[in-house]
Amino acid sequence: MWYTTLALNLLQRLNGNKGRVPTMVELKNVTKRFGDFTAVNDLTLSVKGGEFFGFLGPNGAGKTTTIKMIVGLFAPTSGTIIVNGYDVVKQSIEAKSTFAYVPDQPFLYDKLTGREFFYFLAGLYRMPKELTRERIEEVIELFEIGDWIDRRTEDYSQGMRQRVTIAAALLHKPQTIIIDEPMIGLDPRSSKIVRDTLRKQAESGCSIFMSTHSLPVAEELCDRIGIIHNGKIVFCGTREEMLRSDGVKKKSLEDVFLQLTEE
Amino acid sequence: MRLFFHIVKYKILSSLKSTFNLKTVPIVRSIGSALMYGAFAFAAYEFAYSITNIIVNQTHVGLFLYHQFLSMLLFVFFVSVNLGNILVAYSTLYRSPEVGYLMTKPVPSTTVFLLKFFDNFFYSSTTLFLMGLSVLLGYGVFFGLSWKFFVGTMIFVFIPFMFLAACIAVLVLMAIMKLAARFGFRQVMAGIFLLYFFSIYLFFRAMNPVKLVEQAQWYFPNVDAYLSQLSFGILDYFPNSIVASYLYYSAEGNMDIAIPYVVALCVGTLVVFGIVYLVARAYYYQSWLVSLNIKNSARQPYYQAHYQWFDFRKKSHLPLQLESILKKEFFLFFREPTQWIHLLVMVVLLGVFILSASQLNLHLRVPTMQLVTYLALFGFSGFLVASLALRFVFPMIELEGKAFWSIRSSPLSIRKWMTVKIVLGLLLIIGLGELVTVATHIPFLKSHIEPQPMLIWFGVYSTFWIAVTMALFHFGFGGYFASYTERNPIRAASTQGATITFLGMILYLIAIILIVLLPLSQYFNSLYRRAPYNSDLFIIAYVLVGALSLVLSIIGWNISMKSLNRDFS
Repeated sequence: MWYTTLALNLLQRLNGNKGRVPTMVELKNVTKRFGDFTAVNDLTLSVKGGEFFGFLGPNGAGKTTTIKMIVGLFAPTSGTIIVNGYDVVKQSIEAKSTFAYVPDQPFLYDKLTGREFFYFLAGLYRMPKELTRERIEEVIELFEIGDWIDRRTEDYSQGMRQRVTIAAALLHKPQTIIIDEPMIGLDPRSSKIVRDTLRKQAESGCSIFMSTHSLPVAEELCDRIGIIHNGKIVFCGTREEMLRSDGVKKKSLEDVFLQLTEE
Repeated sequence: MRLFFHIVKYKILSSLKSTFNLKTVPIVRSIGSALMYGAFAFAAYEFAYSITNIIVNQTHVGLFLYHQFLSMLLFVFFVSVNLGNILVAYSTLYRSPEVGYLMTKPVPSTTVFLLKFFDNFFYSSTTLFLMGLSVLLGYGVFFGLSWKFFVGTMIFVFIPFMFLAACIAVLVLMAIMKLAARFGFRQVMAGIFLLYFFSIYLFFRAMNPVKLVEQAQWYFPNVDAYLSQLSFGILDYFPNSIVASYLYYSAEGNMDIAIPYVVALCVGTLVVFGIVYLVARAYYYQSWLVSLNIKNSARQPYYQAHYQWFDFRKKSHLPLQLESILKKEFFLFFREPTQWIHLLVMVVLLGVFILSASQLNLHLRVPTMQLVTYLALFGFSGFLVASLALRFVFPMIELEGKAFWSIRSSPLSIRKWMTVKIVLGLLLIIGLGELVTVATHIPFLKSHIEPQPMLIWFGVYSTFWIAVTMALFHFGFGGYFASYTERNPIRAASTQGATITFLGMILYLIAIILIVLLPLSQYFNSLYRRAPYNSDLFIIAYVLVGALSLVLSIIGWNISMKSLNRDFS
């Protein structure tokens, strides 16, 4: 069964690293070029099990490109990406079984209903029907989408699509969630539901790799923050480390962010 | 009208910027397209010239009968353009986001209508113009007609002929929207297609090509003298008859009689366009609102306590991933009206063709005539397979759209996904292609021309390979040209990339016809002489058809794999 395999894989990894928290996402010297343009330049970072990692940066810094490489939508030009112990290029199917991805734009198949989309995705993750049914009911309740779930997704608002996409990501109980700009288009209530859910996921041992523009969200949720600028990591550490990044204590994360990403 | 030209100016500017892109890849692509268009135009020219030569000089059917056949072909062409325009116009006039945008601006709805109507006409007709011009050149060069004939015929005959088909299409479409508000969209669509089906059936009953050929035999060699006195009543006023008559008198060099037909066609087209304009002014905006109502009325919650067909909740014996893909494909196809309606139209036209083809009388024991008939039917089956592949297989990857992230980031092997999609396309194409092949071989079986049914096996074998090649090639290039932004299947199947792929496949089809020409010619001649035929020639043809198809299929498969492993953004 799919979940026992996952659990075994996880246990093997934990046993192999006794006493240490396993690394769930690891990027080693990753570079991505589009012709002459280098979008991500020699990026190295890692996210531990149960860690909530915030990935910040100005527009066009390389956040989405990095995320797309992690989830296998882009192939890195050089470097290695390991997710939950699997190389995403060489063992892409195994890697993809263990994580969930939430894109920045929640595109769905317009002609399917939300429920059908859930079943469709669960099938791709080889989830048995009974379990799928249970999980769907859980996420419907959690995200308060019961009134809309049997309508075609073409009728959904941006926020509703976003909720359905995030809910779909939780169906197969991933070990790692890679999420790109989750708060865009969400109303305050939806935003609260998403924030609480992600926090709970992290507390239950799931690693979260979240890209965001929102400094308050990063400050509220993230254990560690990485800042990317012009394709390079310019900072990686905790909130406290960030505030003392150049030895001088700053007033807010915004000040540090603006200073680090100054052209 | 100032507003109309203002918008047109910016549409042209935008189009020029994307057409004349001076970067290397677009330039190479444009050169490739130009070469492909050129090769196709040349092949169409050669084909028209040769077929005219064979029919006029070798079968001696006479000019008038030849033009009657031409008239029937023009009728089929007219109906195809007309039906195609109804479907495309529905997308451009009623579902285009640009219409919604312009309706919120101070632009009169008639201007919006005209913009989208011309946009639709030129967008969907460019390839047909090229095809028409090449065929016309082949025809005109055979009859030794001057350059003035080509220019005049293109501008004053061919364009009005197609424009008339487009005008009628839009009138029918607006009538559909009007009636749909009262009787329901699906019911009206079904009614309209039944009406088309019976009109085509009645047309071919009235024209009856078999009867015409028999009459031509009775009055041989004074065929023209007899047939030119024939009248088909109201059918003589149909645009296809008018164009065929114009061509007949032009070929005879009798321009004084030919030109009034041109005038009649142009005046008729202008009158119909005037009617379209008036109807659009009175009704387009209302019908656009009706289309929004239809769209919204379909949006009821889908939850059913009892399981429906292909219900996702139902357990299946299929592997879970396969079940998911199949169910998704089923719903996406049958919930998109342009998909199932277009398939329905194609099946209806196929039905008409199968009925007509299976009634063909082949007792005329002239080997050249039998060969031409066989090749025409063989070519049509191939063309049909190409059209199905273009329309339903080419857009398969493009239509995944931006939601493709859900598959690309899931633990589903892209090779597995691709195989399922190709098999679905193949089932459709091989199924319909083989059905037509068997139906078109019935006259050959019925006429007892052959001592043993050899042709049908040859047809079934060739159709299988043609279908596999067309499906894989269209799928591969559909992936190569995919931008994942076009949500309209008809527009996805009429892009520059789609046209290039289609033309490439038509060249492949011509190559297949050239391969089978010699063994078939030898076969029909040996049947006529009641002598044994050379089976070695058939074996060579079998091998060549298989080998060429296999090579192209492998190319198509590899292109699919490469394009699906590209970055997805």
